[in-house]
Amino acid sequence: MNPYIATQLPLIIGFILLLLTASLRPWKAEPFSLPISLAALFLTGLLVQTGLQPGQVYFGGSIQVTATGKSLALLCLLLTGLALLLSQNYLDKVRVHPVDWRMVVLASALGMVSLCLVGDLATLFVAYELVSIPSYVLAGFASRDPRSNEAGLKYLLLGMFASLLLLLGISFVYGATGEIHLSALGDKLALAAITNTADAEASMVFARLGLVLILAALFFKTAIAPFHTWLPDVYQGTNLASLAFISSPVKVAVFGMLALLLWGPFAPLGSLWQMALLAGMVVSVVAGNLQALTQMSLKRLIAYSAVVNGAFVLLAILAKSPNALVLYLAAYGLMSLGAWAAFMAMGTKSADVDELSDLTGMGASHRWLALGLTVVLFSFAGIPLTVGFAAKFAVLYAAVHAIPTLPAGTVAVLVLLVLSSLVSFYYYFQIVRSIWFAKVEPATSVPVAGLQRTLLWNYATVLAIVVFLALTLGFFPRLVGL
Amino acid sequence: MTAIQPILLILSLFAPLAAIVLHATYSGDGKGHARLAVIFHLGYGALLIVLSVLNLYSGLYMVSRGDGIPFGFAGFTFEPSLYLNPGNAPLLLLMGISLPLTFIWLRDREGRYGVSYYVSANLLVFSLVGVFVSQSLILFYLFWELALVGAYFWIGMHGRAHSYTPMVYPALARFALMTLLGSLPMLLSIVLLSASAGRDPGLFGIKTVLQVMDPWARWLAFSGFALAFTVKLPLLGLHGWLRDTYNVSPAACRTLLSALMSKMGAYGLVFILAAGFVEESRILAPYFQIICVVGAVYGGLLCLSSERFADILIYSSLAHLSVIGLGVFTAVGSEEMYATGITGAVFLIFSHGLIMTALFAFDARITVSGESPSIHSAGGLRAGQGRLSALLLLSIFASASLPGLSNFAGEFMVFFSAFGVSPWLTFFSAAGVLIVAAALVRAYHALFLGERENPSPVKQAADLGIGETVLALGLAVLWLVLGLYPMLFVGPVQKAFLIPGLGGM
Repeated sequence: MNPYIATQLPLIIGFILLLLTASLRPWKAEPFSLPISLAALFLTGLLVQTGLQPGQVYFGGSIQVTATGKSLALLCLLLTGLALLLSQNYLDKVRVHPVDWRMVVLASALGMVSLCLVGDLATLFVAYELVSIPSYVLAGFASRDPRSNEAGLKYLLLGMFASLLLLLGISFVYGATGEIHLSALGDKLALAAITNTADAEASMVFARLGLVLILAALFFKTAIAPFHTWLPDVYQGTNLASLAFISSPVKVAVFGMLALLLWGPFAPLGSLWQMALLAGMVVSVVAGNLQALTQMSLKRLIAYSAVVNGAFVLLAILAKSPNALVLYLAAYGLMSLGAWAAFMAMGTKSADVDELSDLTGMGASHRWLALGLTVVLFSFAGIPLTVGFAAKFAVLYAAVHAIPTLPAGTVAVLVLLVLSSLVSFYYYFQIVRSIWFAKVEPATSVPVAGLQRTLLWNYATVLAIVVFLALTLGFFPRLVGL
Repeated sequence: MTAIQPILLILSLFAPLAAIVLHATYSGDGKGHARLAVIFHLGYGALLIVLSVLNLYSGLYMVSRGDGIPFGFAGFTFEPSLYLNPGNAPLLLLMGISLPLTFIWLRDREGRYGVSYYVSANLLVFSLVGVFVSQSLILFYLFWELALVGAYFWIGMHGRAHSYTPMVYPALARFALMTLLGSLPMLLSIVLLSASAGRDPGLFGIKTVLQVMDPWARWLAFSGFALAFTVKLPLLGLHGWLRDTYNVSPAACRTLLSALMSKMGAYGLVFILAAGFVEESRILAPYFQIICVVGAVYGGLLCLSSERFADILIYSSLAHLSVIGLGVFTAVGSEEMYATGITGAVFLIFSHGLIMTALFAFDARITVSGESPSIHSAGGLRAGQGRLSALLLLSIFASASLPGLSNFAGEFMVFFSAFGVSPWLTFFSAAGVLIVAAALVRAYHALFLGERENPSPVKQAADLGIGETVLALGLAVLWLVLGLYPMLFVGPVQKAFLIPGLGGM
């Protein structure tokens, strides 16, 4: 059997089994959907790892395996597995049918694996939509919650707008070169860039326009400022289980796709996208940090911090360092899941933690949970011994190494990025302060008093896995080496 | 004797982690934790003293590498190596003496503090020793940041607000953010050096790597380190965090911040800026010298204008640390004076650390609450605290660089080095130190001499116990020995700074 098809089969079979479960036991509690989903992800991961080798091409170039793409696919599957684990118990709380939810997640996972391995523009768009459309559904899944509906609609409308921009960009690029295969596209663009005929110049104009549209679409999707304004609203309205999925593996897949596009076919247009990335980085760190400073809502705070983290991912892409990119995305994806796991665990039986003050006294009432969340926050901030530090160091190291090949002004942006971390320390430390230093006043202790007394096993397991990986990769970042 | 030193070095580094585990698993009450801390730090202090004295007088230059450990990532190698030589051994000796004294003099008699107090304290201790013995720059940075984490939790969880510093967190946030304002650029500097070398160049490789770097990269790297060290010391202009942070800290934390943590900045000036960034430091030395001299005078004036005894100590620290900075920056400005200025600075680092341990600890022992008294609020305290007042006076004399006590020799070397650059540097910085001495003596006079009001406006604590007094006398003997025969210390340290590649130019 075609090894690529083999990697997709477990997810498809899992999807069908979940469909059957949903049909046979509608609206009834069932113990099958989680193990089926996890098994499907595990088998796909196993087959990607053993069956696909870098350099392999399938379906006439529609699928192209690279070492970076393969690592990103595995990372997405791992993060999806953890997000699925988190969904247990939580979906009942927000009255979402677990089987339906997991089915949508498996469909999106199918798209993510393909997105990391795409070889042509048509497959890219299909995979992108296969990732995106389930995300819109997930954002608005808690249909009885008006904020969830608002988040879903906002995400859908802006997401569709981004998809259209992407499609338009792809059309321009195809029109300019007459090519959809990524490797051939790169060759044609490189040839056109050094050819001085009028046709070639016209082609380059359209190709550049196409690239600008593609970048705008992907900046939208990955919430790079100034295209990030939708993110806090969507984060705030989306239930935590869906958010864990949207903010972690989905983001990793789209960032990965952006990197593979820019490093591959669009390498000849480097001068254009390098400037765009630099601009995106500057605006993201400034806007993200400044807006995060004033947030009292935890979800919005993490949303703005995601914008800032996006700037570091762009730096890894700018530096053309697959190692730094994968390490940073792994760190970011894991820490996001860790934060959501801790927030889920701190929720009451009827409501999630929302405000910063909801964590007041957590250090005293839930010491181990608080320690886990502190490690996650330290990793976000980039404190040494955590994977967050290793990832930031790797990205900065790669960027400094690549400075001779990068546009003038990169050094200034690097300094800005590093100094802006100071601001992010402030808001991460605000959370640490709430957890450990703030004294519990009787009037503000309502959320803590209403906590679930027994910590649910799945939240604790995911947080423990995240903390273990954060520290292990913090000590040995080489484990993520490609 | 040389074979055992690498083992002792590793033990010295990791022992505070064992203390963390001990406290975390100990189920006794606060008093039990306090006893455990005293016992541990007596043993740990002895270990540090043995190691540093062995190293100082055996003259061993030791670097223990961690080759083959898969740190770093693809394309980047990082050897987690440690070092010890007579250049940095005085810092371990300082820790070895200061830690047990702090944990004995300021032990928690009421049993107020639990696990988190001792875990964060030992995390700070672990980081401090790590900073002073790390040869790898990444390791150095790691411990540098961990020290902030330890101090942050120690102050955040156990700090206290007062009428003069009404809130803990704003003071703590200022401390953390200002420290990070220095340390984050330092991270970029380490990245720049590492990217140029293709690996972590280590403390001793900085000078070599700089030779292959572009001028902009060299200056950027220098700026990051300089900012980190001058904030931590702190130098004038970057001292905004100093007073409030010290005031809200628990007494033991305040003592260690002044005696040891400020020495992280001084250590960086001596071992990284002066030894690594020779050319850059030399070019900027005149500007730094002026900042240091103004800092010494300004610190003295702040002492004069302060009313609380702790504030006077805090600003005296600013003045004395500026003198340490002056020693470093006059040394880098002149090849002839290099060893003298740097050795004077290291001598002062050591001596100032010991004196501040005593001063801050005795200050916290004056009142029952541990709050520092205002010089206008009390008088005649000597009547109830004869031993404490006598030892405090001796510490003030030591701090005032009375000839025959340890600070004198260090300051003499620094002023001698500064005189070679410009007599005015010596004149003004000595004036600053004299003003500090005057302010301290004035405060002592107001607090301890004269008639005690009845009832006393401050609730006076019990006097020092016999054992505590014996320890203080032992410290006084050390000051006397170093004051009368400084070559005991200066000889081995100076040798370290005369050898190229090991701190020498």
